[in-house]
Amino acid sequence: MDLLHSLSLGFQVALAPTNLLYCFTGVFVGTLIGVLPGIGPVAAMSLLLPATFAIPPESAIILMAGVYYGSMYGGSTTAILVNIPGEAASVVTCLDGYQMARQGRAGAALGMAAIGSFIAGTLAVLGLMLVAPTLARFAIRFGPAEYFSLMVLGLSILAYLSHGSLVKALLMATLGLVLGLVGLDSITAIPRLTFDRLELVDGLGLVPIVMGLFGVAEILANLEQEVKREVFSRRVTGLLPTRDDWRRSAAPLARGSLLGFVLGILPGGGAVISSFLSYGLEKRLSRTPERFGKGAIEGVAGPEAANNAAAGGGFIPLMTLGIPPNVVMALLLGAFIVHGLQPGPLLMTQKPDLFWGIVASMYIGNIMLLILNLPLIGMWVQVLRVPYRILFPLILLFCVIGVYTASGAIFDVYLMVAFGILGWLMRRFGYEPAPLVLAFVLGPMLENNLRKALLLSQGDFMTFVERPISATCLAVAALLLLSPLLPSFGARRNAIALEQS
Amino acid sequence: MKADLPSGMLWLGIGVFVAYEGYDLGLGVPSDPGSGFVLFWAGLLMAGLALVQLAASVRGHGGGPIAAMWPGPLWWKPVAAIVALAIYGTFLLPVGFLISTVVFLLVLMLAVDRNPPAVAVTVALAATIIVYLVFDRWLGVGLPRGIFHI
Amino acid sequence: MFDRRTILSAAIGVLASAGVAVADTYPSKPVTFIVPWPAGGSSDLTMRALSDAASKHLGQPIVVENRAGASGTAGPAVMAASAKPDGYTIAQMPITVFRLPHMVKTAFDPTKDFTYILNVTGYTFGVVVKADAKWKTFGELVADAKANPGKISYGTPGAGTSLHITMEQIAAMAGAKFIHVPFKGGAETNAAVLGGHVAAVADSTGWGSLVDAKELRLLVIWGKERSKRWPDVPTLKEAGFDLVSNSPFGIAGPKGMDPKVVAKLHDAFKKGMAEPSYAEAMKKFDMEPFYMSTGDYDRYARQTIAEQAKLVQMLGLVKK
Repeated sequence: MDLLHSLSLGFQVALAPTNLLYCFTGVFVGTLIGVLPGIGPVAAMSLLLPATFAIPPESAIILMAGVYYGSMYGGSTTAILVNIPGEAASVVTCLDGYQMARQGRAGAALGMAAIGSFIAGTLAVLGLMLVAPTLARFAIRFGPAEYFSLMVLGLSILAYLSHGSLVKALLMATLGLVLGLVGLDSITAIPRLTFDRLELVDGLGLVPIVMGLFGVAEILANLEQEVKREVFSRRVTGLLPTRDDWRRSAAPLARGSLLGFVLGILPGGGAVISSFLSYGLEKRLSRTPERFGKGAIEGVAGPEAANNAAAGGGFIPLMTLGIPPNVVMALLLGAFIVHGLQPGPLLMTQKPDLFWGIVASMYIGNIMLLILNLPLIGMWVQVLRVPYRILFPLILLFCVIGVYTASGAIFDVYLMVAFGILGWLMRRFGYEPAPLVLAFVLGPMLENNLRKALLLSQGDFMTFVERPISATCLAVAALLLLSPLLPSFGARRNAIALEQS
Repeated sequence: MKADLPSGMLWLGIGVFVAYEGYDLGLGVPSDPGSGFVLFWAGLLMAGLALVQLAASVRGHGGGPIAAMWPGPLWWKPVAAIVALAIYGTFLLPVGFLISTVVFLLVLMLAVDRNPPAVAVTVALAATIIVYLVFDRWLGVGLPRGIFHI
Repeated sequence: MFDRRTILSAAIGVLASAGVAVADTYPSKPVTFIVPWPAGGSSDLTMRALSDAASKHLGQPIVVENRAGASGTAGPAVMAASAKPDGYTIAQMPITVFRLPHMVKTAFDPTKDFTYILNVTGYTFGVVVKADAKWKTFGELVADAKANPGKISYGTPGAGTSLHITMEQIAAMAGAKFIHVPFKGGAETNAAVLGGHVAAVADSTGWGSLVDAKELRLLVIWGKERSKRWPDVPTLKEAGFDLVSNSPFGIAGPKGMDPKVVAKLHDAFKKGMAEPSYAEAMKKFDMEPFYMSTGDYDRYARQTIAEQAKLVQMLGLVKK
C-alpha cells in the first residue's frame, strides 16, 4: 500500500478538530496521571472507558492511547524530583535522575527525560508505520524458552545496577526473585510463602515495594542527616540540558529507542526490561562507568527513551495481530471491541482510516506532550526550593495515598512502611534496592516460562540452546557476566567494583 | 566484627528457609517442574551467596566495622517518622482521610521536624484539601470517609 | 448495673440497626467487581459491558478490577480472604472455583466462603491450530496425539480450567496423550499457537479475528450447537465426542451478605443483562446469556462442586 497516501489519510482523521481535542485531553490527563504516584494509566483508562461509549471509535482510541503515552512522559517526574518511582519502568530513572536533582541539575534531567521521550516516541511511531507487520511476526516467535532466556539476559545486567559488591547485588536479586514468587502459583494455584496470611495470597504489590525502597527509605535516611540534606535544595542551575549533555546523550537516546521499540513488541513486561537493559548497556559502553549512579545524564536519557519507545512498540502486536502485549494494551483492545472493531490482521486493510488515524494522532500527541511538558519543568524545579521540613511530610503523604489508591488496601501501606525500613537499613549495610526490584519484576516471568518451556521440551534443558533466539539471549547474558573475567574487559569492570572502596 | 557478618547470617537463614519451603512445595520432575522448583534453587543460591559473604567478612574483608553502623544522634527522627506512618495507616480507615491526614502532617511538621506553627497549620490544611479534591472529587478514587462520614 | 446480657443485646441492637442502615443506604459508593482474568480477554470485556449496563440500574459505578492468575481462582480467593460482605466487593465465579479445591490445596472453600448472587452467561469454547497446520479436522489432531503420545502439545488459559479438563476427557475417550501447557489468558495462548510454540490451543473466542483472517484454523466448537459466526465448524458431538463444555459462570460475593443487598445486586445485574449494549457485547464474543436466579445458582453451584469432585477423581487430577 502507498505509505504516503495512507499517512495523508491518517492525518486527515487525526487533524479533525474534535480528534485534536480528544488527543490533547488524552495526553493532558495522561501527564497528570503520570505525575501522581500510585494511580497509573490502567486505572485512569478503566475510569475513562465508559465515558468513550458515546464518541466515534477513532476518537475514543485516540483519547485512550493519549492517556497511555502521556502517562509515560509524566512518570519520570517524581522519580527525578523526590526519588519516588511511580511505576517499575521509572525505577531506573531514580538511579541517576535523583542524583542529578541533588546536584541542582533537576532541570536538565527533566528536560532530557521530556525531550528523550519525544524523540523515542516519534521514532516508535515511525517504526510503527514502516515495519509493524514484519515485527509482529518476529514477536510471536518468542515462546516460553525464548522468554526464559530473555529474562536471564535481563537479570544479567544487575551487576551494572549497583556500584557495590557483586555478591550483595546477587543477594538482593535472589531476595527479589523470592519475593516475586509469593502468592498463588500461576501454574498450579498452590499458595507459596503466604504463611497463611490472606493478604499475601495475591502476591506482594510492586507499587508499595518500590515506593518503600526508594521514596520512604530516602526520607528516613535524609531525616537522620539533617545537615547534609539542605545542600541539594539550594542551587538549581539551568532548566535545560547543556550542549555537553546532548553530546553524551545522543547515542544512548538512539540505542534506548531501538531497544525499547523492539522489546515493547514482546508480550509481557517490555517497558520494564528495556529500561533496565538500556541502563546496563550504557554503563557497559561508557568510558566512564563510575559516573553512573552519581548523576550521569546517559543513565536518564537511555532508559527514558527505552520506556517511551516501548510504549509505542506495544501498539504493534495489538493493531496487527489483536494480541495485547501488556495490561494497558489489553484495555485498549477492550476499547476497540466495545466500539465494534476487531483489531487483528484485517484491521489495517478493512479500516485504513482508523489504523492510520491512530498512528498519525500519536505523532501529533507526542508534539503536544513536548509543548505541554517543557514549560512545566520550570514549575517542577521550584518544588525543590520548598524547605525539606515542609517537603518531606508531603512526600510521605503522597506515598501513602499513592499506594492506598493503587490497590485500595491498607495492608499495602504497611507493606510500603516495612519496605521503607528495609530500604533504610539496606543502605546502611551497603545493599542497593535496584537489583531487588529488577528480579522482583522478572522473577515470576522467569519461573513461569522456565516451567512451561520444560513442559514443552519434556524436561530437556537443551531447548534453551537449540532455539536460535533463546541461544542468542543466553550468549549475550554470558558475555555480560563473564566479561569482567576476560583480560581486555577486566580493567573496566574493576573500575566498577572498586568504586565503593 | 565486620558489618557484613550479621547481614550475612540473616541471608543464610532466609536462604535455608526458602530452600526448605521450596522442597516442601514439591520439586516435581524435569518434564514438569513443581511449584517449589525455582524456590528451592533460589534458596540454595541465596544460602551459597551468604556463605561467600560470611567467609569474606570472617577473613576481614567486606563492609566497614560494625561500630560505624550505629545510628547517629538524630536516629530518633526516622524512627518517629516510621511510628507516625504506622499510626496514620491504622487510623486512616476508621477516622477517615481528612482528619487523620491533617493530624499526620501536623505531627510530622511540628514534632518530627520544627516548623513555625502557622506554616505547619496552613500547609497541613491546604495539602489535605488539595489531595482530597484531586483524588476523591476529580479522579473519583474514593478516599476513606471513616466514622464521621466526611 | 449492666450485666453481660444487657451489654450483649445492646451490642446486637447496634449491629442490627447498623445492618439495616447499611442495606437501606446501599449502594452509597462504587462497587468493586473482581474479574479473575487479565484485562482485554473475552471474559473481561463482556464483564465490563455487563458492569456498565448493571451500574445504570444500581445507581453507582461498578468498577472492574482484574485479578488474574491461578486458573481464574485468584480473584475469588482474594475476595473470600479479605473483602467485607457489604456488597461493595463482588467477583465473577469461573467454574474453576468449584473444581480447583478438589485438585490442590486452595485458600477458599466454595461451599462455605461465597454468597452466590446469580448466573449470567456461558462461554463459547473451541480448539484452534495454525492455518498451515497439517490437521484439517479435530479427529486428525486427536488421532495424531494417539499415534504419537506425549508429542502433541496444547495450550489453555490455565490448569484445571474447563478447557484443560475437557481436553483431558477427550484424550481419555480416545486413548490419546497430549502435553498440556497452562498460559495466563487469551492473549498469551493466541501468541503461542500463532508462533508455533504449541500445536493447538483450546480457549474461548479470543482467537475470533485471527480465525477470520485465516491465520488460525478453528477445528471444533464445544457448544451444543454450531456457532452462528462459523457455521461450517462442527461441534464436539459431530466430531465424535459426546461432550458439551461451556462453563457457565455467575457472580458472587463474600460469605454472609445481607439478603437485601444480594437482592439489589441481583436485580441490577438481571436488568443489566437485558440492556442492548450487553446483548451486543455478547454477540461480539459469540456468547449466550444464561440466567439463573439467586436460589437456582446457589443450588447449581453446590451440585457442580459435587460433580467436579467425581470428574477430577476420574481424570486422576485429585490432590495428594
